[in-house]
Amino acid sequence: MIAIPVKDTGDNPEVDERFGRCAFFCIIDDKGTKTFIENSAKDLSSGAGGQAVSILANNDVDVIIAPHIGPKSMTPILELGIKVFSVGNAKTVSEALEGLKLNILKAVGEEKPGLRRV
Amino acid sequence: MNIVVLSGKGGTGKTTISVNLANIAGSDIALLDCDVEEPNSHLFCNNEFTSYEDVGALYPVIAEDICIHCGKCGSFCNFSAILCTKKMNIVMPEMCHDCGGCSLVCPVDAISYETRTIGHIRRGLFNQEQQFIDGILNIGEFSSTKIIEKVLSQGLDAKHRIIDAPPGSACAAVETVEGADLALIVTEPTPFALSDMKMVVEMLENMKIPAAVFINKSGADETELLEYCKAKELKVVGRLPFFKEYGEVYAKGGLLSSEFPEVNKLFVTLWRDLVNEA
Repeated sequence: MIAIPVKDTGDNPEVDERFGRCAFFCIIDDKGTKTFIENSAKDLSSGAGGQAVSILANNDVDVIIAPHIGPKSMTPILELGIKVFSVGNAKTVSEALEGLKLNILKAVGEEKPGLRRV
Repeated sequence: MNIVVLSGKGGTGKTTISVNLANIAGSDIALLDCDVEEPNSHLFCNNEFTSYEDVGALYPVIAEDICIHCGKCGSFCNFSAILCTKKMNIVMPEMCHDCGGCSLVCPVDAISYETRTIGHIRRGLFNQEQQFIDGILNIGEFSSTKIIEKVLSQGLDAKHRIIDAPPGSACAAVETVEGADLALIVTEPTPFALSDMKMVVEMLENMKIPAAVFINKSGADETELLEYCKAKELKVVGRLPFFKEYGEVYAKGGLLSSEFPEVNKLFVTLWRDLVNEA
């Protein structure tokens, strides 16, 4: 399952620049079917990124495509073995998925995460 | 008596007022610098620190063989320090505020705690006899309250404690003000300082701590500031004018109350008023 932070739930949603505080996540299954989850972490006073990761993990997401993911979110992402790709120039879900298919999206996550794990 | 010197806006002169009050307040006092993210009272003190003590914070460790993955600890935690996912529990010690709530909500007692060092406190003498304690939060840590708590546990045998607070009106400032007898709000005649001061006043009202106002760098129009003080029944207990010479002495780590007789007189009067006020 692929997850992309989005601003709306239309046919071809616009990618949200924010990860932990995006409005919705667009989840795309192996057949290309889109479903949407409202991001219940978006209004948390702190730790929204981590909670967003946990929501995605519980929806069996193993790939995230996003413009930017903060260091606090990268810690659990690496721990859970979720792959992350930078969205690059793509502005919509269709463009992002096309980029992934063409293998032109840059993989992120190899750099040191921001938080130490136990 | 505990007098906390705070401001809201940074850079209004909390440290200037704190160290100069300490300078003239006699020997039976303790000066505590609770601005543990950037302590600077020590810059006005020529003595070396004589002792150091590490400060630790607890973080949860989940026993995976006992955990039933109910997710209660994760949903309880306000700071997302525990993420309970289908696959595993993830604990992020830096996010933890050491409240102990996760072990209370755990139905199977799977959570224990370990300690990690987040900073330290330093002890020394300010003048010859006055106690001086400050704290340092390690770089990269989020939560300063445990260090502040430790600093505030010091110097209790002194007759009066002068407490240099961190800026702002968030957790660190609330922790510092807790248990204070009097808050001295240091402000300056600028709209920015007044705006942040209003947040501090609201915080002090909620905590029911009496407050007085000191106007530092005075000389500009104070109309709006004075109107606000009047409306809130806040007494203006002193003013330090904005003079270049004061800035120069401060920048060299000098004490204004030692260098300028008129400033010395000002702080002696201020100290007497504060002690009477509280």
